[in-house]
Amino acid sequence: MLLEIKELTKEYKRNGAPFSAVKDVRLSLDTRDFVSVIGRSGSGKTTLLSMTAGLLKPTGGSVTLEGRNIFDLKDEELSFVRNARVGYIPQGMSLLPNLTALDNVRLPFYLSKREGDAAAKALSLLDQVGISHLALIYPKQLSGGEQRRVSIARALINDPAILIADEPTGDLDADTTAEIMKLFGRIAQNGTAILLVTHEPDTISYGNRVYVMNAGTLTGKTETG
Amino acid sequence: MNKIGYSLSTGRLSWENLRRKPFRSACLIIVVSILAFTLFGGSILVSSLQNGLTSMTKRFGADMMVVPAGNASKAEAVLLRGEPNFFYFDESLVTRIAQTEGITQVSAQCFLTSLSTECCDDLVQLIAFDPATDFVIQPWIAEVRSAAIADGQLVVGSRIEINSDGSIKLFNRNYPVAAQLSRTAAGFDTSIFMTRNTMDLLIDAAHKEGYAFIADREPKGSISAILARVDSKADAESIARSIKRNNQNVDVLVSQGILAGITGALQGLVVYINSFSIILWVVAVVILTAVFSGSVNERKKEFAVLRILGATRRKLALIVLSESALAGLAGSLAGIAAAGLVVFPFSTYIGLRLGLPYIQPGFGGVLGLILFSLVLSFAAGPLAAVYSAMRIGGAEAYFTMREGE
Repeated sequence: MLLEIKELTKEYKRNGAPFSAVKDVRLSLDTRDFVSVIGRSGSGKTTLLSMTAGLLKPTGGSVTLEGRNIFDLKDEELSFVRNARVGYIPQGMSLLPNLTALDNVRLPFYLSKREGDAAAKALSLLDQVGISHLALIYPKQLSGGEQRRVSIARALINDPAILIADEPTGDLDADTTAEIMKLFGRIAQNGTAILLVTHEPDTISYGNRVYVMNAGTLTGKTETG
Repeated sequence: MNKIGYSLSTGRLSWENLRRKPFRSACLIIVVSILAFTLFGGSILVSSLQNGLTSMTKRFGADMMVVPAGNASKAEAVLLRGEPNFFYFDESLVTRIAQTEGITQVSAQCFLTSLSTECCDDLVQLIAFDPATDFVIQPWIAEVRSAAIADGQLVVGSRIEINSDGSIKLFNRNYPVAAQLSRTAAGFDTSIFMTRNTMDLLIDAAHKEGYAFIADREPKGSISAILARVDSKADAESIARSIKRNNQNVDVLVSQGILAGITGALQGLVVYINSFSIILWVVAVVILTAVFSGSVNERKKEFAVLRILGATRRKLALIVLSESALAGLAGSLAGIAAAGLVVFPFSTYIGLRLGLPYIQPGFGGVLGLILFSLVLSFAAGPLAAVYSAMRIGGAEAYFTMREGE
């Protein structure tokens, strides 16, 4: 199993009373899986993804990626896992404004020691997402859809085992949304597992499993493909 | 250069962050360069003044100087500022002063001034000494010339220009220069030294050329000053009072008194420069801390993205520190270069304006001061960024990314 989430829980205090943002979530993904989690704003989707990527410590439960509980790792090891094995596409605009599209894409390549031609690989990924002609453009000159494509290319630069996407089409028009979702489909077919959260029902048809998240609880598994 | 043929190292990321924010970067660099300018300029100033004082103390040689009454300030101006002057009294006073209790050694000197058009832009001081008794000028000459100077030869101060044939024209006649003395930052630098016999020859020759010396007595056969050393156990001030009491027509300058005045003025200036440098350094660190803190706060989301992409906390801290180091280095080099453009070409003017002995340090000294200023001003940047670097390393990417939702 590539990813195994067991009884994952995150509790906060709200006005002094305990509040579960995520409660006893169980989920597993294997290679080529394309899993969508749908739910309303505030249902705990982003919290779930953040814990899955090791960005947030849970109150309870575990996230086992390729056989290792990521919360047992030290900062250096966890950072390496996030850099090398997880491709994360955050919600909203997340490109570094002082770097060109190309540099944004190849940035994760340089965050750990590795050999290879990062520029050639980044250009190839930009080509795959259809914007290689914008390689030397800075983010503020790119449209929302173009920025999102750069984020996707960036998440793929280190050949991750799993791609985690937080509302990747949240602020895009219908045509661009469809293009991005098809792109995710192709990525999954190429062997990278995808875990995607969304609040848009139109996007769930692209995955092969759909879960519903409601008040921190994951329910309603549906096989779609 | 290939537009994509570089690696995105920590230094490159920092460089891009500085390059893409030119106004913020310029402000950082300007703050550090003002600091470096002050540190380097100030340290050169302090070092030059200390060198000047050391040299002057070393060259002063005598514990006291007896001059004709009413000429104490003129004599001090001759010694300290090289303002040419002449005044005379009778040679017989040498014996009387030598007999004063506590005096161990005396030697007479005679002063004359040159004409302004002959060797130099301004009048210069001519000082004649008695080779048999002199204990001030000859040890100094010995540093640059092993043989004693003969009658008819001159020894000149460091700021006297010598003709290409190695001579100097005085009262329409050329006299050979036997040696040029090292710099003292005192009046000696614009003085010409000779034996008493040479001065007598020079006066005779001047008379033959039709020159007359306007003074209340003929310089030949007269003296201008008696330099004296006192017993190490004796008190120079009380001996000076005794000389003054027994000789109505003299003034006595005590070296300690003259140097104490200069030392006091110098110490005041050094304290002022050092205090100003320390205050400026602290202010610069505070300003830079505020700028880095504001900048990091503004870029919190950017750093959170880097964490998401796999940057360690250490990497984030390194990016912030390396940005501050680059700005610190650029500002330090710019400030030191700017200070260099002021202090080196205008050193003579600065010395004159300060009215204090001023000798710039040599190459090694300057290099040391460059390193000192570079290290201190450069360190201000990373030191100011440490707080921001620690803060950004501790931030949780999840919460930062969700701020404002």
